[in-house]
Amino acid sequence: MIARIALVLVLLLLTGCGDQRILEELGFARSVAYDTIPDQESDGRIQISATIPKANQQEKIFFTTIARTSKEARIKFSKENNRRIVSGQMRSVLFGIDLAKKGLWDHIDTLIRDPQVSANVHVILVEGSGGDLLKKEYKPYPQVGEYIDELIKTEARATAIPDSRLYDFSRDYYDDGADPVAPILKSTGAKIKVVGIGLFRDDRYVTRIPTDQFMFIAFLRGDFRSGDITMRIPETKQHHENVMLSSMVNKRTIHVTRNHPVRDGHDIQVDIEMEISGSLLEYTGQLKLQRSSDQIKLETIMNKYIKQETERVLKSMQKHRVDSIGLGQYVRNKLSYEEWKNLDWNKAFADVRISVHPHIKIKDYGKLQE
Amino acid sequence: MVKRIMQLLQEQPVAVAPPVEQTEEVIPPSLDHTLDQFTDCADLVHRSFPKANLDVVYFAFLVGNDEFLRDIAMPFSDVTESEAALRLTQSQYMPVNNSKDCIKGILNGKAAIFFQDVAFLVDISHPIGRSIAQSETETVITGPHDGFVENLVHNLSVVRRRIKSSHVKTVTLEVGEVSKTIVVLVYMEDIVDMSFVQMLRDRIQQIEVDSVFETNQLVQLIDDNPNSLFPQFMTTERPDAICSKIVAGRVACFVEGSPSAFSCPTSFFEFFSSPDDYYQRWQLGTALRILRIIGFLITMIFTALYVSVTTFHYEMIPHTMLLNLTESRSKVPFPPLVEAIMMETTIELLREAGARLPSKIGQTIGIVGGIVIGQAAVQAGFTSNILIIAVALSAIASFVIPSYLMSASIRLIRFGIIFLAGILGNFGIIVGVGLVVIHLSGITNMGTSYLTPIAPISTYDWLDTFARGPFWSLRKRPSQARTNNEVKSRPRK
Repeated sequence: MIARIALVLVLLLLTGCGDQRILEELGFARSVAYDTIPDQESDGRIQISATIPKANQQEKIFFTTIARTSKEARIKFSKENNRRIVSGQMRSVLFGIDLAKKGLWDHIDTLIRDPQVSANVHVILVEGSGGDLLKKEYKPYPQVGEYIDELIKTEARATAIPDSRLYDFSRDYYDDGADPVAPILKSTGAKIKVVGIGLFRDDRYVTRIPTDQFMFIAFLRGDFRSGDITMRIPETKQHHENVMLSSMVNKRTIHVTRNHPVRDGHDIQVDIEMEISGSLLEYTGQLKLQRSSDQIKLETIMNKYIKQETERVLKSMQKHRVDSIGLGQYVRNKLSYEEWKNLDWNKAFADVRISVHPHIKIKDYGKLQE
Repeated sequence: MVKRIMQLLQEQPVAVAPPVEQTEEVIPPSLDHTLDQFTDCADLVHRSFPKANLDVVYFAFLVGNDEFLRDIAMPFSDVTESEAALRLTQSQYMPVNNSKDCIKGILNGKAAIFFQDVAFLVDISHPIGRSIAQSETETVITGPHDGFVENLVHNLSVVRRRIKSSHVKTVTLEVGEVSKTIVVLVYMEDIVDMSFVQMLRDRIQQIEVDSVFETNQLVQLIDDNPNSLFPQFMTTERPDAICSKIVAGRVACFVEGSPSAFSCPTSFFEFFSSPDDYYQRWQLGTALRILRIIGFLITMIFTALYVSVTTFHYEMIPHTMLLNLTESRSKVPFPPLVEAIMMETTIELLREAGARLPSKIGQTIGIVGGIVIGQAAVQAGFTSNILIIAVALSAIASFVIPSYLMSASIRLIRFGIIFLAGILGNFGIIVGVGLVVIHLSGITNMGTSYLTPIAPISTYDWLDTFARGPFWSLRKRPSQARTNNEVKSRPRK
């Protein structure tokens, strides 16, 4: 018995203990930015910047260096610092759009490979230089890492931007029936703004859509349980009415019909049904919402508007051959393995006939009852 | 009443293990021999009644005045020898023919009467001790407030008053070569599995020790795993708890001179239930049971988790807390393991000091400890403030466990887990908890598994283990008691 206890103790105590990371000896990189360097002689090297929040939560330490990989940069940072730099508390990773055009997978791959880095780290694009965005102070706001983190989180929760975490990004990257998306940030003087949504083909940035159009992609991408939309619906030639739908709940279903055999995208027809319900908080038009017949009229108008806008976004996606809503997954389910393998989805996507059928339901029209 | 119980005890001398050394010669009791045995015992009284030609020997401090007057002084003063002989035929005067029994009787507070060539014993003992009072270690809010006392007779009377059944049987045994402590087993005939009674009796009779003064001492002499850290018999000072165990088909056992009784077979989870659970609505009782299990887990691993997280797993800390924690930690000169062990030791010192000191001074300890540990230690850069919370929380959580013995065991195990956490991180915590579980599943009590009803699994019992089911659902007695008489209640009509 004693021998057995001794054995267990020896096995336990003689191992381990090498990889200690004691809290106060660490510096926690909060956000990391990757940028291209302008020089032609970059030789595969990139600029890597990181911010580390200080204990008072207001200030930060900013590092930047030129290195081949993020791990190399981390070692360089550690040498400049009295603490060991670790990436286990990283919340966002920023890529300059120039770098994103060349492809991001090499960088994302090392992040996913590192067990310290959470799969919940947000992937963000930056218009201009990511390093510069991190370097600046944004006075009334918390220090930059937390600012970005909270900005992205609150917006994503309201379905105003896609929730593009490392997990989503790599899933869409590996899925041959879907392409990743990521929000684009820009530093405008004293604040950071979301200026658009970047659409990728594989790991390369291709195009972007303005932020206010993301809601249409969100309708197409899947179900969500909270979101707001403001619609500017032309009533007559010169007069517009504003409709704001809040607390939207969206339920999307996709139906794929196909010809036999499938040679290219023309043989595929996709119908996207969306059941949207929400509270009507703003309405400037002529209809009397107390009347249910008028509500139905308004719903029809909104349906038409959303159908038109979503189809326009789809057209633009088809033009750039980016399948950011993951239609390929549904098409793939309808095809045999051979057919899918022979189909170049990115190419075929441009020719697929897609029609959208929104069904809006006004749950209520606010507290005002006439 | 008390007398009646004592008589009942004597009526059941039950085949007390045939004394092995019975072969030694039987010395007939005589006055000279008895006085010889008690030489130099200043408290021994020898009184002669010359008219009746009768001698009485007894211990002055064991007998009561009233009893002495009633059974010795009144009947035998101013009587002739023949009258005395007549009176000695009354049933309370019991003839003895063995000197050993005679001496034992005197030691138990009886008076030995030597008349002609015959010796008689008469019970004139007067029990002393505190009267029935509330148990200080196991308090409840609702429910009976009486507790067991040091006096065996009182304790048994409390049980008899609670369960008025002729099926309540008692077995009297004797433990301790020198102390001759009386041990009484109590069980419900027809409900109990007699093999437990037999096993317990055998084990108690096999004890070879000079003295036993406490129930918690006795149970360590008869348990299955003497080297385990865990208490293996449920000991309690509460009569309602013991009576419910007896009715559930377990065997209860009382030790003379100890205010606690134990019941067996015992399972690990019995230590987490309190009689209170049954006196409240079942939803509350259930919530309390769950709270205690949470308390158990917090006691075991919370400080260890602090150590492992600050030493190895900084990723696990929410970032809003991270910076505060880093700032607080950066002033501390010790690694987290040393820091945690120091604080835990301080808490244990406080607890032990509080337990040893009289309650009036105990308050001082609370104030000093509160200030020293709460404020000064952090300000002086001796420890981080989150550790204070962790240590305090696990100390508080440990007192949620109703059994003091169990909570003390878990507090000790915690140190081992903290140590493992400091060396191996979360992996160490899992190793530590794993070792505890392995050990627990190896423990048996009276041949039944300590982890009943988890292993062997008995899902019906879970209703009364991890929850306190409503009474309509608690129809059967616990499986661990192995009773043949399973039905405990029937549905209300």
